[in-house]
Amino acid sequence: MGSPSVTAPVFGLRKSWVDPGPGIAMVQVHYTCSPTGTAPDWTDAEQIVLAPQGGLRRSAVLEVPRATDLCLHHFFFVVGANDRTASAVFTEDIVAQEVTYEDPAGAYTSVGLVWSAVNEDVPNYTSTVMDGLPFETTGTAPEDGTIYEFVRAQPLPHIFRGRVWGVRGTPIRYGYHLIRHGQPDPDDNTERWDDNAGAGWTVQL
Amino acid sequence: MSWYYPKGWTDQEDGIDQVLIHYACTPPGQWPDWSWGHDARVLQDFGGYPRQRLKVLRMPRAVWDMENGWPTPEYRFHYYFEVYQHGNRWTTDLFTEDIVYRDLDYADNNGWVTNICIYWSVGDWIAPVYSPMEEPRIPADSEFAATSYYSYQDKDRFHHEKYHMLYGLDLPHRFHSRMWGPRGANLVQQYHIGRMYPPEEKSETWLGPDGPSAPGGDNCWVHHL
Repeated sequence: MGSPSVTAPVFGLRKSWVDPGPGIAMVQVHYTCSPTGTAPDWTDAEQIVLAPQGGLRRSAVLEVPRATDLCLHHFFFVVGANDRTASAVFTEDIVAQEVTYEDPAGAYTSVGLVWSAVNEDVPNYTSTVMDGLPFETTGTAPEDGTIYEFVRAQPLPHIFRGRVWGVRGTPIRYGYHLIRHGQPDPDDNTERWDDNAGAGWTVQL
Repeated sequence: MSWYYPKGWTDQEDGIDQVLIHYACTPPGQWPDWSWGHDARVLQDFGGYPRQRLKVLRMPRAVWDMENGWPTPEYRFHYYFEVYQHGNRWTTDLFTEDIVYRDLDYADNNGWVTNICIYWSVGDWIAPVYSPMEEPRIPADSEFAATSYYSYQDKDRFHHEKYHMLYGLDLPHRFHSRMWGPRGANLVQQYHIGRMYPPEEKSETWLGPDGPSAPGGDNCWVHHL
C-alpha cells in the first residue's frame, strides 16, 4: 500500500459454486476488475472463501465497483481431498440500468432503491435523485430527505431516478424506500418500504 | 487482499424493516468525519425469531494516515447501526474498535512444506480468511511469491520452481503472515500446509493443535487479541 486509496462505491454480487461431489475441502473465489476490453491484472486481486450454503452449494459475496465500462473477472480455486485445481477465468460485463419512481401526488421527499440480483439476496441500496433538484447526488445509503420545501416547489409528477448494477443479461429485483421528511407537521413524516407485496419489481440488465 | 469481519444484528422488537451498518476506518487516535464520506451496507435478513441479520464486511489491511503520510496496519473501526422501524429510523450509539494484527510464523524444521497459508477467522468460522505465508528470504517481487500462486497458470512449474527456491535455503524455513481483528476478540486459526513437489510426494492438509483435520471446526488455535 504505497499511497492513500480512494474507496469507490461498490455493490454486493453473490457468486456460487456447486461441489461436483463429496470431498471438496475448500473453495475460494479470486476476483478483480478491469476496464472493458482489457486483460485482468491479478496483482491486487481479492480473494474470499466460499461459505457452505447447505448441500453441495457454497457462495460468497464479491464487492464490485458501481461503475460501467467495467469487466469483472473471477475464478474458483478448489481444494479437494487429493488435489487442487483452478477453474477457468470467467469474464462478465458490469452494467447499470436506470430505475425510476413516479410520485404523481408529491407524497415523498426522497426515494431509495433496495436491490439485488434475482434469487441472490444481497441487498444493495441506491438513493435516487429527483428531477429538478440539481444539488442531489445518488448515494449508497438512505438520504435524510428533509427537503420538503424544495420538493414541493417542483411540478408534478415528481420523478426519482437511480441506478442498479450487475452482470449484463441478468435480472435485478428491486423495491422502493419511500421517505417523507421535513413536513410542516412532524407527525406527517414517515417512511415505508414497498416491495410490491414481496414480489418486488424486476429489471433486465 | 482484504480480510473479512462479520457484523450481526438481532431484532429486539417487532416492526423492523431494514438495518444498515455505517462504518469508517481511521488511523489510531483519530475520529471519522461522517459528513466527508463513509461506507454503508444493508444487512442481509436471515429470518428466524428473533430475526437475525448479518453483513460480512470487507476490511482493509491498512489505512492511510494522512497526518504522517504512511499506511498503518493497526487502525480504528467506527460503526453504528441505522434501524428502520415502524415508519421511522433510529441509530444506535457509535462503537469504536481498535483493529490490531497478530503476526504468525511457522517454523518448518525439515523442509517438508512447499506451500502454506493461515486459515483464520474472527470469532468463529463464519467468515474465514485465507492468508498465504511466505518465507522472508524469498524475494517479494519473485515470480514465485506465495501471493502469485493462485493466478499462476502453470501450477506444475510453480511447484517445481518454488520447491527448488526453498530447497536452497538453510533450515528451518520460517513462513510468515498476518491476521487482523478487533482488540479483545478471539481469532480461530489453522494452517493449510502442503508439499506440492515432487509430484509423487504431493500431500496437503489443514493443521490444528491436535494434528491434521478438515478446515474449520474445533481443532484450531485460539488467539486473544
